[in-house]
Amino acid sequence: MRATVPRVTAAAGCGGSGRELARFGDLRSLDAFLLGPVGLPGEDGTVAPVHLSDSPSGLVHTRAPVMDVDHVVGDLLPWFAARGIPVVCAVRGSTVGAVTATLQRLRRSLDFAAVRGVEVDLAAVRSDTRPAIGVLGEVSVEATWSADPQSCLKLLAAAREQIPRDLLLTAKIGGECPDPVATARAAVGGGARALVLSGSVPARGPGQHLVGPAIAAVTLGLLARVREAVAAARVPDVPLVAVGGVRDRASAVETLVAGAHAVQLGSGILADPELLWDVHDALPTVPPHEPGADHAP
Amino acid sequence: MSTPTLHRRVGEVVANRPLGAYRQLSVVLPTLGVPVRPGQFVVVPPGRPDRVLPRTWWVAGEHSEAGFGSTLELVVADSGGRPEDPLPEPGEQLPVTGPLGRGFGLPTTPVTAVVVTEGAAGAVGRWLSERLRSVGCSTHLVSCAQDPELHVDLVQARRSADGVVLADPGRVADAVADVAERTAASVLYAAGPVELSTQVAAVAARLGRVSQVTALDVGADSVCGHGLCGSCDLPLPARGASAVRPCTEGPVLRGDAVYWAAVE
Repeated sequence: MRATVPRVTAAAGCGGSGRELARFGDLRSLDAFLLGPVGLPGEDGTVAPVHLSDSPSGLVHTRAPVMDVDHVVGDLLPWFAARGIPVVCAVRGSTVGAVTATLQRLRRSLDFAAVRGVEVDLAAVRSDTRPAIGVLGEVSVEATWSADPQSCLKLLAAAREQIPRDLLLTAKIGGECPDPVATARAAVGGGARALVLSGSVPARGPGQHLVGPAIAAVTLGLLARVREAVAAARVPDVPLVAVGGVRDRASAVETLVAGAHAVQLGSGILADPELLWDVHDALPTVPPHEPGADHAP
Repeated sequence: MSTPTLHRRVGEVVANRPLGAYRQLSVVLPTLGVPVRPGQFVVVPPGRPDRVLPRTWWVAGEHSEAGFGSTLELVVADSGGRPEDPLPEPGEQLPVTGPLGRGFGLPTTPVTAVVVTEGAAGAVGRWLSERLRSVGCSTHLVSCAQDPELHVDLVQARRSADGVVLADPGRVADAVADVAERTAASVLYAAGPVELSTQVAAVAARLGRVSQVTALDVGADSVCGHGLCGSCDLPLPARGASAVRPCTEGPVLRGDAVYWAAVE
């Protein structure tokens, strides 16, 4: 069975808690709401609010602090469940333990029925300690998950075990990924049923990323590379979700025509939240990319 | 949704005139169903095609006329005619979201109030002190600016407040404390950037007065105004890591509601 991927959602960290976005339109008319990043508070060291600064045709931002999973379970999920709005939870953690602990707490929520999918952020920083040979101390590793396909596979496999089999599990890969094809293959091997390809690239200072219309070409490039790998059977054929650089109807349609099954909107909805509904209305004009289409003559 | 949804509406700019070192824009919109309060702001699209974030502007006045529509007075920092950030000229169409946010609440009984302002929010402070006087309060205005040219329209301010004090941004806390003690004011209002609100909230806490402050840098480059980006989040004192989002829950908050010590 193939879980359905919502065709348009807000990007992780850009939709607020849902209440803010609900002021601009009816969330029930969308396929799902993407809530996140959800995690254990303070676990990845990000506590300060997002800092935004201008860049030509783009926006440089620091990582959003995670929403406390207890706050999500206690306050936010009941709000969505009461309104019948399906939710996709974007989960972020710096260790396998943090991600599985977050998923466990989500799963134990009384309103878990509102959750229709889980997105695991592989662009997050991984903090790992490895025993060093010959010394008693440990060496700590500071890199993103996506830099190491093997740890992506482990993380996705651990996440897959925590959630019901029929629940959609997606993996998000950013523009910082050194080898998107290998990471995509590892993520799908670990149990991801869709891939979110983000064109967000590291910028200016540590922990800062460039987003906005400036990175539309990076997103399309990432999409093309993964599509090519799918056509060459190096990555299993899963739906691809594009995020980054979608700023209006035309660019959303362009991204879908380039092979994305769905889009997420980030800085586009910061500029105009109604874009979410606008893009949603434009989607029926582009048929979803069907698996196997790459193999067709 | 039970809450009415906000939509971007297209208004017509009918005037763009100087207000000291600032510009005052008058925009006519279809009649707003709700009263507008000082402390609210509007979100307008970026002025340049290569900017992503929209602009946020203070609302400094509103008049509604049956059958004609609502006119919003918006006060903006003057770009000096630079092409980087053009302001709309009279006759142009301007898409406007808002007025957004929670404005200043007026006291139910006539009291003495101190209104502290900085920057373009000086026009908000002037409108607020007119409102306060219309409900019988006596108001004292503390206008704070780096440069004497940057006070908003002091002639008008002297008409709308019982006393006007000019202060240097570095010594605003002393000036506010002095005025509050001298006039026995029971409420302190602050309209301006977050640093000003931090200082006014600290003075109010020290003197045991009530304060209402704007907790959002309206007009700054780094806020989206829609409540989605999270860059305006401020920490709350009681419940651990919880935060308040002034874009949606403010911009006007009680001074004692925010844990200012944790604000950078």
